[in-house]
Amino acid sequence: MERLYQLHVGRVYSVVCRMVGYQDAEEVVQEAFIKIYKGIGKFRGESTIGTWIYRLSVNSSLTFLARRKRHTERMRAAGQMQDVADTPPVSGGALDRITLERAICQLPTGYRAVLVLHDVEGLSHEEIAKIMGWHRGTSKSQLHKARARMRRLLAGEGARS
Amino acid sequence: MSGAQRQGPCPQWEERLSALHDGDLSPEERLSVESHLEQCPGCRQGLEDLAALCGSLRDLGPLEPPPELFESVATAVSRRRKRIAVGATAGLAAAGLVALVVSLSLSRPPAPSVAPRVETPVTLRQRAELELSKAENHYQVAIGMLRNLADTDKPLWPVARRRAYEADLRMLDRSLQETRRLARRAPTDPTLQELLFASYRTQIDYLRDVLAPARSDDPI
Repeated sequence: MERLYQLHVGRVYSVVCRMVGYQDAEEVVQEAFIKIYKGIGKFRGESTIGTWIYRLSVNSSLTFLARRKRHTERMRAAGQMQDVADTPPVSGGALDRITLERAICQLPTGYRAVLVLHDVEGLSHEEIAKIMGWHRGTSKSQLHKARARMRRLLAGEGARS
Repeated sequence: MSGAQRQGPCPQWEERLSALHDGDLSPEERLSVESHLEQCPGCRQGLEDLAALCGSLRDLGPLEPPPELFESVATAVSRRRKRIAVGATAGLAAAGLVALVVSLSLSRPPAPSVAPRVETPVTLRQRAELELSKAENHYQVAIGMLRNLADTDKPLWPVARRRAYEADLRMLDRSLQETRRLARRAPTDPTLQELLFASYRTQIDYLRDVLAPARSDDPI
């Protein structure tokens, strides 16, 4: 168990952190590894194990984000929820690490996933299409849109759009 | 990317600049974009910014997991395994029962029955109170069972999630108490009743979400 963890925790943790934020990463990483240990015996080898692990990490993150969204809406409806503290708008300047990480967190979920998987993790569009259940062309067009949104976020224009 | 004084790329060309950067354009498309670039300083700048952005994203690299993460993952995995091994049958039965109770509660929207004969206001109020109590009882049973299941799961959750769950429940309870107080004050008012039942349903939906199974992750 520890070997599997050590081999893959880097990619699981990186993707999950960037998808859900640092604060909730531990919970989602736990869920991802529970799925990995549960499913490893059934892994059919039709993709690389790395792609499969990315898929479980992304799915765990998306499940969590959907639950968090529903929860936020419900709490707002109950009339007592304060606005969730988003990361502050990103202003222009050098592309330092913190600025980039903040801008990634502000992307819509699908854009965030494709940008992290392609531009940060270096996956191909074929792999991303398998992970996300998209066509290859969708992965490409989502990536181009995600980069355009990043540019606007980094220029400080679209931080709240 | 410092943007304020810089001219951005033309919006209609922006996605094609990204495709050009990735080498994803056909020869014709490539010629067309390059020809536009010759005349458009904004797009030339946009392409440079894009290359800088992609370089910076690539350089972000992996994040270092905290050392204590393994312990927390190992504990969660081992607890889940034990739970599956020992409690599969009991869990399924409980989940089925909860689903049944919840669906019964939700599929039979309780409403005070309309009395065919004329009654005094006091009798009407008493009947409404009784019907309201019966309806509330359905919801309370469902909520109690869901909370028990959540309490079983809670030791597996990270501290932050446990705290958030407890804070949420306190807030939902307060909201429920308030609507309950209003509905009890005027038990024949259908709007207040609906508000009260909506509060119960909100809590049930919240607990169901907390206990929701993960989405399908079939091996690929």
